[in-house]
Amino acid sequence: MKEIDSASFDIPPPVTAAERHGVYPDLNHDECARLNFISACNRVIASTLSPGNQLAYSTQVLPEFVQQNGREPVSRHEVRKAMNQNAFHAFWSATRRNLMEVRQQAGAAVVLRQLDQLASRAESLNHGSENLHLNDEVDIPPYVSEVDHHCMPGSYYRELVEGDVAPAANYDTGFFVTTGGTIGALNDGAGKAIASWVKDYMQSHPEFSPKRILDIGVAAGHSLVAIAQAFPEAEVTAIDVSAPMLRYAHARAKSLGVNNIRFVQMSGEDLSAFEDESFDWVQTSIFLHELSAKSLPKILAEACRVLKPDGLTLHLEQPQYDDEMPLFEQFMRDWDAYNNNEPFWTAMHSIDMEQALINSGVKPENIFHAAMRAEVEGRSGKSDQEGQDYGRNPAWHAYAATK
Amino acid sequence: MSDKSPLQDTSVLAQLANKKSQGVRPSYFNEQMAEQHYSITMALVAELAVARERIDTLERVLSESGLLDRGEIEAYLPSEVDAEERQRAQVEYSARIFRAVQQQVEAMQQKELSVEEMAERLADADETPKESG
Repeated sequence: MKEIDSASFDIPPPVTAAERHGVYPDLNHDECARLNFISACNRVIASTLSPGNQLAYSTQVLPEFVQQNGREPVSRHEVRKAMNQNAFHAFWSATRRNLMEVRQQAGAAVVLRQLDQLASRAESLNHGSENLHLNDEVDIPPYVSEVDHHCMPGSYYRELVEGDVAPAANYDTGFFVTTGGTIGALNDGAGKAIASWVKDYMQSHPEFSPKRILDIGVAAGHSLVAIAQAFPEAEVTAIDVSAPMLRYAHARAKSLGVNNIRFVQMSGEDLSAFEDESFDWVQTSIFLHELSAKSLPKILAEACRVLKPDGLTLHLEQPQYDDEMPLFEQFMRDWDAYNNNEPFWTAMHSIDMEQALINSGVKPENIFHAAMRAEVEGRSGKSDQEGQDYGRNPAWHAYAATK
Repeated sequence: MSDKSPLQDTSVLAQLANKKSQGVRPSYFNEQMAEQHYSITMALVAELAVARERIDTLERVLSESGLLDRGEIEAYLPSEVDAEERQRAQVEYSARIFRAVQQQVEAMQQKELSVEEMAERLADADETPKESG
């Protein structure tokens, strides 16, 4: 069969393969079908169309750029501006953007029709809990209020009814779909990867035995629930600025039988409620790129302040851009910044994270890096086209440090 | 006035689900019209996938309840009369889709007045026929 040169790719799992928990929204037949279309279509685009970007660059855009300028592009921004003029890339971008908009409409329609039911399902799990602390005096920072991340109207926090959890329910449902199930039926592949990595770390650092864990920007708790399950004896604190996310995350964790997480409405920029050196492990998971240049150092500094002397701070993100990374790859990884409402993504990924950690109070010799990929059981999880669908594979880089 | 909550009103829900995200939307095509066309195309592509999945469900449910043998669908050969009837439906379907293009062809076949020109003509009390163009 040497005539066939098309590589096969995995079919993403249907949305019915996502694990249902206590606040998972009801999905009717056509809503499932619509979400199934989105994950399938995304996978087709990633596998069969995305490689065209590299071809368009090497065969059309780069030669034209060199002819016009007498040199190659010197930044990912120059690559972007040139690529945006290319018909193939523009069409590919339009397709991905539209698909995300279709996804947002589909998810919003699912949760809007059951707003009250979702709120009351969450409330019945949350009522009287000592593990949920909301505070409506917490200001929503501009990097959340002014940016509807992932083209998600209303962002993570806007409420339409009393006790609203809809933004979180929408986010949760769509997350499985847009990741094509690659991070697991509970979207917890990153959390499982972090937990395994820390267990390995404990093998070589027997003095490290985390009792108190702090997660900043917990959102729906996808990653943190897996960590809390892996460290059942630990007392876990999760903070977020969004009340709907916290209500949902608490109810979701409880329905999954996880009771060792305290969910607190609080900004990572101000952890004054916590004493210095009071946590063994302080982390963020796929969070830093949704901040701002102003808030990121504050959050890292607060994380360092509340960390115990032998504690571990860990930040999971997509890899940073550096001189080793080809400009084309940097440009592709930047796609979400400009087309999927992730505007801090581009600046965040060119920050010198080691220096940022040093500035936060960590000693340079205590910084280390770790590569992680999603740990997933069962059918979901295998990704495709490594290196072609930049920034969309379930693989991350952790910037970690001890104090 | 309805005493229903706005969140139980289909027309409100439909609009809310369609809300745009904050910020100027990036543009991908040289023309705004192309932008809109493509967005509608993608939405329709999604809806066709939904409709297909629904038909598939119907076939499977009917098959599981013994009312339908799915093999029969694949093997189905319409009678001559039925086949012609279906082909007429196919023609009607395609014609409906290309309505706008067909009307463009019709428009090119004769010189016509614009609505503005017609409005002026009808507003003229003298009703003097004017040479168009």
